[in-house]
Amino acid sequence: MTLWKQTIAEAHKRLSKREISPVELLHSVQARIKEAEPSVHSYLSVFNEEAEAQAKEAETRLKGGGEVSPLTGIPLAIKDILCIRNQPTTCGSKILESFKPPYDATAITRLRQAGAVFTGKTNMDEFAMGSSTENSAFGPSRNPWDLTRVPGGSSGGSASAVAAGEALGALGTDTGGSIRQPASFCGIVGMKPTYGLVSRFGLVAFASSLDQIGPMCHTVEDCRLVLDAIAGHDAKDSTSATFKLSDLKSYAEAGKADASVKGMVVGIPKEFFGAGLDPEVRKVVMDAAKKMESLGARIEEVAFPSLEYALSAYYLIASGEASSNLARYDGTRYGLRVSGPTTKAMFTATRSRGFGLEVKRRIMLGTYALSSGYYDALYLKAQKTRTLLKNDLDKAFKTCQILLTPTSPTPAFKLGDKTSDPLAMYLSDIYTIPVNLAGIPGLSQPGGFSSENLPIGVQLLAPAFHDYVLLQAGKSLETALNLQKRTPVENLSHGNQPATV
Amino acid sequence: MTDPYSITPEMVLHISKLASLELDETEKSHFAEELNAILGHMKQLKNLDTEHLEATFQTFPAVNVLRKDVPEPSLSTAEVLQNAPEKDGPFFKMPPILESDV
Repeated sequence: MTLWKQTIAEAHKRLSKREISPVELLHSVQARIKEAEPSVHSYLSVFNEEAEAQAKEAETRLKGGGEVSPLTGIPLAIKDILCIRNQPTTCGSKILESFKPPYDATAITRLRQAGAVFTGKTNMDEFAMGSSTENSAFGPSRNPWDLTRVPGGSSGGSASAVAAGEALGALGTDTGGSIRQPASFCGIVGMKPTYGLVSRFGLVAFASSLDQIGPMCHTVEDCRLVLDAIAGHDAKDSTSATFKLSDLKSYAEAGKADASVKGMVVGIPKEFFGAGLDPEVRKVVMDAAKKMESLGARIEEVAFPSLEYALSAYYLIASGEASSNLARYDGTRYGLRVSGPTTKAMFTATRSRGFGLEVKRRIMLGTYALSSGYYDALYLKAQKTRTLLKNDLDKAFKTCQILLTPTSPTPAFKLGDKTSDPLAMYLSDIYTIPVNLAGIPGLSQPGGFSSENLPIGVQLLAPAFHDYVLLQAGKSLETALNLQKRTPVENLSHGNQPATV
Repeated sequence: MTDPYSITPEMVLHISKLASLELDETEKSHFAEELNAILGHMKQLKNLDTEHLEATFQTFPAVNVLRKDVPEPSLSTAEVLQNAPEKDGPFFKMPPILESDV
């Protein structure tokens, strides 16, 4: 048995029976990291002593010295945008290269309480702005299925780490598709929970009305286990929803072995199948629809006429919020400082050197959209368009419990393919963006493979706070598809060497 | 008002100053070109009828969150200053704020 190849649920079973120890499991994952990392570059920092200490603590718990949860002793990778106390938190940016937060994010606190082990911090597009990790200031990650291709982004390092076996699961964040698109590209499951379900305290802000933390794992069940640990009200986040997790769970039967979609109405929004969609992706989604139908779901075509406006609205809103959130990086209290004769000169010099091109581009766009004389025509117009999108979704959910769409228009693209055309890069998030604008939960899970053996994800959506119904539908589809468990490039250190870009 | 869906190099320069970013000549024309391509796509919003719609700033019903006025432990001064690029005792150290002080 290769320990790093297990799912979280499998490892938990063996850990609780004491067939394996958390330290053994960690060592297996760390050996895999050593082997795979030169090829995939999933991590920006790898934890050794700290992880060892966490694994030993988990061992004590499993021996009866404390509370055991399904995550006790499970090695998890954390996107480098979440604060872990006194560990580097770079956000993939030169401006935070030296930053070590003095506190833990709430999601991290909860994972500690559950007894999880942190393997390290994963690579990402700078400040989560991008769809390929090519905007990371520390070099891109690579797709374990084909090292000449991107793993997606912005949580690309988390996706490649899980796909390559460098962690059993990971946390990512999703502002416009940053969990779901890389999950789709890397053949794993990624979930963006309902806005407000997981506390954003300690998550470095990109676009505050859209950002959400979520799990990235091998199976839907594993995602549920991680979500169980991190979800729940937190007084430190004023947008954190006040609810009981048990109430949300009562909508669904996700935990049950016979969880099904029988009797559910699954909507297919026809606008998601228009121009730009790869025929192989279309086929995988349509096959998933047939599969759900064979499970007893009713498939219904629904309309989503505002989809064509989603990208425009999103880039105005997200960039506007980003330009405001990123104003704090001025060299005063943390991060890079480039000295200047005055405070203002220091601010400008620090920001000009510290931020990468895409971040500057979005700050510029956002500042423009919020500036005097343009606010009404751009930012406010976008927020009204957002209402239109939300109304379309509300309408669809009047007749459907679940929507089924592609996650991304294509499988993983090659490194360098879209770096010179920002708009083309933005379009790879066209199907995930409306979900953040509406605040609803979205799940991407493997649906099949392309003729080039690249994973293709399908996206399931549910109304706000129906997260466990979503997981139930996902689990049901996953079981029925019963995809042959394929492993990406196994021997990453030989042969399949990354191309130089 | 000029067309909001197109941006001149002069406007790019103005925006960069608002955002405290310094652009060289190449960056200035580069950004003008790219932002124009992006804004060109966004022009589709121009004729979209949104007149009777409310804006959705938050998808979650926004309520003011207050907590009881009870003192709780906070970060120590050392922790607050641990990332400071420059500090002096319990203070963040800054360059002069006014030009006239230089």
